[in-house]
Amino acid sequence: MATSPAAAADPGARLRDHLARTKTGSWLDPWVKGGLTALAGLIFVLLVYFLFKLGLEAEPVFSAYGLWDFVAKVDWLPSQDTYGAGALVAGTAITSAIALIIGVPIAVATALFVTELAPARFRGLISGTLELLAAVPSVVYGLWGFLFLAPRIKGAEQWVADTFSFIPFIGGDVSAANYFITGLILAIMIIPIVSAISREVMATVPADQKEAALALGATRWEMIRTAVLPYSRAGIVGGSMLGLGRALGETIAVAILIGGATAGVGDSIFSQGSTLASVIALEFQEATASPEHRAALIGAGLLLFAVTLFINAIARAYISRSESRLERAQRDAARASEAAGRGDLPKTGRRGVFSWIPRPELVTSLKGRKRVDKFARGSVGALTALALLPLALLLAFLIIRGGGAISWSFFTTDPTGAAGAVSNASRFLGEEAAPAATNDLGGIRSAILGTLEVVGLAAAVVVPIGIAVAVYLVEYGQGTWFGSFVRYLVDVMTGVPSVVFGLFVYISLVVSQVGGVPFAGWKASVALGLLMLPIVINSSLPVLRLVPASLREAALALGVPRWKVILRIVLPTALPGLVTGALLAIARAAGETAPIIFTAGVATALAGDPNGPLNTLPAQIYADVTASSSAQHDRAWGAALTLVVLILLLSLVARLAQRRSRLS
Amino acid sequence: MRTRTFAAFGASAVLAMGVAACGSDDNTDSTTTAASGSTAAESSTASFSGSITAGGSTFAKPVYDTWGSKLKDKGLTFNFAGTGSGAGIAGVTDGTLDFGGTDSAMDDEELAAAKKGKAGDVVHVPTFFGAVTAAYNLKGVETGLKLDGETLANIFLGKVKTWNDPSIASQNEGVELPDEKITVVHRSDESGTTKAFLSYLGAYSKEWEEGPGVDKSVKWPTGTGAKGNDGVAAQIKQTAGSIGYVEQAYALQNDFTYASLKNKEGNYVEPTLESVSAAGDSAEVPEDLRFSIGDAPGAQTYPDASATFIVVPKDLCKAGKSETVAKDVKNFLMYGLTTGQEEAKQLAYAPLPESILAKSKAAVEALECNGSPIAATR
Repeated sequence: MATSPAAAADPGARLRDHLARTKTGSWLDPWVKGGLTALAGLIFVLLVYFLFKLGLEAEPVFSAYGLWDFVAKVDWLPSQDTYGAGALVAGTAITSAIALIIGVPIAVATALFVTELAPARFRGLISGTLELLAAVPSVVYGLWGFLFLAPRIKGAEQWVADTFSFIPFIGGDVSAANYFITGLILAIMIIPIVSAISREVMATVPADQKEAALALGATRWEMIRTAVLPYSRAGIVGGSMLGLGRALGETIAVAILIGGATAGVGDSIFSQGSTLASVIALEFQEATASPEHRAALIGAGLLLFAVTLFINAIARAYISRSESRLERAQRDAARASEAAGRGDLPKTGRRGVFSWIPRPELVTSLKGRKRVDKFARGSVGALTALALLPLALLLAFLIIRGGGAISWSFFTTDPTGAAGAVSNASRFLGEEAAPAATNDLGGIRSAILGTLEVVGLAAAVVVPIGIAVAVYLVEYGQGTWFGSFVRYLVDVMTGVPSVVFGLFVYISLVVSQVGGVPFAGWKASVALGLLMLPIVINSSLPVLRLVPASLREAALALGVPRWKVILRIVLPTALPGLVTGALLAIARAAGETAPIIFTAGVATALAGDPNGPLNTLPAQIYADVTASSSAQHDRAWGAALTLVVLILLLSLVARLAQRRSRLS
Repeated sequence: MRTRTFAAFGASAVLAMGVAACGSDDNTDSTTTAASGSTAAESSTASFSGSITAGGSTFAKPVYDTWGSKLKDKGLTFNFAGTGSGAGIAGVTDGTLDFGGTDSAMDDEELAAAKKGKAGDVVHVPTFFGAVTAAYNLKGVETGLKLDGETLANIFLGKVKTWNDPSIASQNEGVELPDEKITVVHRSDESGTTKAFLSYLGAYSKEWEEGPGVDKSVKWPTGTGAKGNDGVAAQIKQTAGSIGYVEQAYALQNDFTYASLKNKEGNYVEPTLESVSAAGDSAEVPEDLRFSIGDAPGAQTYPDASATFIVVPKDLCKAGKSETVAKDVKNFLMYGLTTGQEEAKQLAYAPLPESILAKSKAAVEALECNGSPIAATR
């Protein structure tokens, strides 16, 4: 994740640095270097244009209201041309807070369970299952939350609202779509991220510290509390922040579940609302006729971008702090043993603002401590089971409902656009009752092919560019200011919520009708490409760094020009890892919904031409979830199952490719 | 004769695709009924050469989708996004849609914005009528609960909170009303259905008119919102004790129960072909075809009916559309105003009366491409 410690630990860095400044024989070398630098520079140009365009388009709303009023005013009433984003900011904060409160403890518990408590053979299984949770696209969570979870927990929500109405922000009438259920689904969505990063840092806790604690007679739980948790705190905070960044920018699941009320903040967590991201997705189509409305939505997008950027920066700082902690700890240990050798008194441990608060051990008897240990371990196990429960329910319903919808014709026919049968039109027609007009819904062929086309097009362009930029960063950019600048820009790009990319492509390509048509498949590819680019670069970097310096050295010593070294030595050696990274980026893009509905439009028919509206699986699912007929819901389940299987297949291939790698 | 060609078309499509293709089954039966209409024959041979991207009104979407699927065999790729009337108007204004569907005619401000935007002058083409129903999910109460405008307004204002409220009970003697809480469901997007429904409320309740007002979206005093007719229908379905407003096709499709509303003359009228058509018959249609049939006179008139329009740039090519698109749009509209009228009826909408139909057709004929009439392809 972090540049500096990794670079310092990289044995090849100095050699590459040296080579980067050394002139070699081939006339092609400067050209290759120049070309790669230009590609890296392209990212800078892109981001500058991105910010410029959004800033320019949002300017009217900021000049009309001023930044503070725009953020603080709570009335967002498009029909009265009043735009205060306060209710949206509040909605974003409420849902994210619920997600963190529910998600983080569970995620940390799973990480503890996997690294400290679970029998070794279950560890891989549990972390693999959690990664599965991460591969499920947002729109599928929305589908499951809306059609499965919301109706089932509404009774419980109403009971809580009635029983605990004395607590502020709880009570009143429960709406089916509300802040709480949105937060709950967001919690499920952030668990995999927070858990993965917590696992990573917990795995770095030195074994001798844990063993020391155990040797002093600590129970397992006391060892976790005194050795593991304090050590990995920074990493857990960082992971939670990354989860928060994800929750803030999450769009489609939220748009489906939150209800879309924008006039003021709801008076309880069970009322409807909107977030910055959801309002963009729900209103962009209405907004273009009114310049104020459009500027306000783009303003909301910029606000979202700024907040996410800020949160992600904090997250990175925490994570890199926890990564450098290992080195610091080793240094401290060396110094302490030196001091002990000299006979100095050890320094007292706890420092910091709260160190004056006494922390008595509440339970001191051995029996009591054992009981605490048992209870704590039991809770950690139970929370882990709780984390796996939604996945089990989700997969079960996906397979039952989706499997039920799937047939051969489901894959070979296109959606007709019809909403299902109007079964009793005779009630309307009165006496001239005619045979009911039945309309076949059709299947999802155009959606599958459209997804392949849009994602394929994006991958074909972006994967080579991303790898080239990564090659530049590793081979030429190491240690240069431009190199670290580009690294920073890539990190910024990683944090841009996908809906903001969608909005950007919408205003710069769709509204201005580039290519003669407004909505077009290739424009969706552009939006997905922007999303994939930083992922491809970030996943390629470590792989390229792992290519042994000795291989490069050997080739150069034989007089091979640098460009040929890159082409024939570095890239082939890193190939399996590069493939893995690219496939994971593709899998991520394939499930994205928000940027697609902004750009590819709504389509049903099969169309091969990328310069026209295209249907895609996520868009089809989104359209069908929000419909009222159960036949369309069935199709949504079937399409969701198809999409999830598609993404899992990609991830599986990525895993296999990784296995073939001879590096690391 | 026409029926046979159509049937042959359907049959060959089935053979060619090797599967029971989606629309082809209905082609035969619906055109059998369509053929009985006298105006049906003219548009049947028009052919299409491209695609139309349209969107807007979810009120009218079921019909436009049906028209689109019927014309698929003629070479048309038709996409209609049900994004709400507001989005339909916006899409025409900024040129992202080839035409927009809206249930409330564009107001002067919107027309001015369109003129400044990509669209230029915009033409309204009325396509058919429909009924906005007050649909409820109330166990044990059949379709036909009697409600007047004021009571309905009070429900949506949050003043009438339970189903056995005296104001409801007094209109429904003999109906056993449960002591259940009323949950109001409304639209969260900009909607022509909303405007039509609210103009009924506003006509009978001063408090509504001066409070939330009559518009495509308002600040709702109570209730939960949902996007599109579909979203509201889904919400009503899920929530016991709820009431909301949806176009009748959605109410029928979901087997909802819906109210008989009190009209101007004091009669409670159920929305039927007859009562909705009656509302249309009395409409006064101005030159630019921007009219509304809400709360129309007549003893058996349904008071909450609405016309629906397709809004389209008068000069499609100047608005950035290709000549092919212009031709396709024109042919699509002509199909809708001829054969399509009967298909609308089968989906529980009321066809236009002859007088308005003629004006609609004239408006379509007057569409232009770069200043000259669009060549007919017949």
